[in-house]
Amino acid sequence: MIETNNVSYQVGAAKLLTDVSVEISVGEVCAILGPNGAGKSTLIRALSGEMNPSQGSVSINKQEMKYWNQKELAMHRAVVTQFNQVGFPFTVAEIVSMGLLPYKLSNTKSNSTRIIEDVMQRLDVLHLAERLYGTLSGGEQQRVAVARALVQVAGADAEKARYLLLDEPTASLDLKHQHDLLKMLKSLSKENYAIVIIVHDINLALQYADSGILLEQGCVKKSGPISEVLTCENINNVFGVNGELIELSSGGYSFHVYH
Amino acid sequence: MNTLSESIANRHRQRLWTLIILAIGLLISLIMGLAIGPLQIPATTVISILADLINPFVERQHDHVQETVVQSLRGPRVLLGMIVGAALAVAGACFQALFRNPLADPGVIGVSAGAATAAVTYIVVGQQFIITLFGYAPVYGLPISAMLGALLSVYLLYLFANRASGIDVATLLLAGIAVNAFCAAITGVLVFISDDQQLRELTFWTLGSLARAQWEAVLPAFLWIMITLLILITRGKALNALALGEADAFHLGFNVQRLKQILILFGAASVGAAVALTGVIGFIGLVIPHIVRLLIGADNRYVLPGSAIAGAGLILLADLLARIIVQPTEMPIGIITSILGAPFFLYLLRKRNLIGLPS
Repeated sequence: MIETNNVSYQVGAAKLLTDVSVEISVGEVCAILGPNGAGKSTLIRALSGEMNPSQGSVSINKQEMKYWNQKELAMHRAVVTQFNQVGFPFTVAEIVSMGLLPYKLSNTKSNSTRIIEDVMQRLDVLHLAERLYGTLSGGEQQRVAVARALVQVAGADAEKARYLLLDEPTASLDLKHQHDLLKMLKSLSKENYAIVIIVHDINLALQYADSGILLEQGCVKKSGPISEVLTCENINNVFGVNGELIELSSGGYSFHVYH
Repeated sequence: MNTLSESIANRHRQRLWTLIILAIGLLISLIMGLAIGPLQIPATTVISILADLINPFVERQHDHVQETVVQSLRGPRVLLGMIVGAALAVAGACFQALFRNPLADPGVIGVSAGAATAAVTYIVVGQQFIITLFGYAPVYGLPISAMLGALLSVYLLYLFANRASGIDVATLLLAGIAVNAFCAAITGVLVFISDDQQLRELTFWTLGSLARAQWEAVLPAFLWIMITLLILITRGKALNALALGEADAFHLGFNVQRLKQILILFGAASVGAAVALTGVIGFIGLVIPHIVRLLIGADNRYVLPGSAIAGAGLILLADLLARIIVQPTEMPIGIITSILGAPFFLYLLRKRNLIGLPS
């Protein structure tokens, strides 16, 4: 479980996060939603330990972030950031293999290529293995970045809880790959993973997320089960968009925006 | 159809072989560097003189002049060339990783100029100043000044180019222009106030030369540079992680702040030591890591040792050229590396995606 306790983060006079207390449990996909500049990426940075909150604390597995050993933490949680530029001619296989950097090679060598191959297959990037990363399209690069993060935690002890934090991983993906990715994350969550994902697409969140955190100007507007977070009223309040939730024949809901 | 594990294993083998071939090339350059010059010495003689140095129990009769030329004139010179070439090339690869920019080179971004200006300042005014103050000149005053100058340059560049979103490449290169211009101005002032003897020294600093190699200076420098190189070359994994971005390297469990401190400190130490010995030899730190990446890819576990070997070899060949094209005098080696390096730099700008720059 990852939890934040009254986390606030301030840069100069700007309050990027105010009094955020949320918890994300293993076994669920948690969507972070909110308008541009609401503090979604900042929250991910706090959850990952990259940034120290000005006030409050973050803990993973009930252990406060500052007591975690960095290498140890890297074997439990992986992060996909928004910027995935690599300034050097690495191949896709090399980038994905970097997910194993936290591990001592002797422990993983025997099955490391199997893990890498398996993850690359799952993200549909195996056929790109020999290509130079810089020559890929934005969406392909994004899938490679996710594959790298997945290798990082897939190499870990499967008994332990693992955490995957993704900052807008679907931004450049085509329709099919968006759904493939979320389906895969959803099934991963059942294998002792907690998945935290920033998405803008309300319908993707409705379809795949178990819980949600709705942010507005650095404050948590609503958090909890996704059906309670993404109500027409909340969406209208936070995004200023009117619409209705339509019940689908296949189950679940879809949000339709009025003109 | 190759499986992933086969292709990874193939690539590994291929890179090892490339390193071995580079090392053989270095050995050949070394023998050429010892053999060729105003006095031509057959390669076989050079090898047997070298063998005697390594194994003192076998006494072979050598021509005395040839032996002296190899041991006392060309010996320190080729060793100096090799350590300076390796230091510049590895520092170049490290700065490129630190600034996450394949065009960062100690010469281009002004680190070498910072070292050289500090060294020149020391010669023209600093040494005299310290002597008046303490009554004696410190033993390693010159190399220490050069290293401090290099350190100050990298640190300044880093302060300017580092933004919350990462390193700003345009700022880095523009700040490099400013540092270079400032250093040129200082050197200009020093040229203006220096006497004839000092003026000759200044030419040496700005154009670079291996001509001053003597064992007394080369041996301590050899030890120093070997230590800094060892520290830098073993950072391959961390530099790979850093290529993904500072945040990503942190998420992979690396202590990014410490890594950057090590790169700045020891990168500056190698460049400073190299400049203190030979003056400014440009473009080695830019050209060599790129040639190596074209040969074996971007994986820094191979790029760093490959750069050390290839940098050492290229300097030996450039020095050979510097010695023979205008016999009986010699051309400053910095001129040769710049004549070859500057067009290569332009070529890299054209082939952007080959080196990983967005086109």
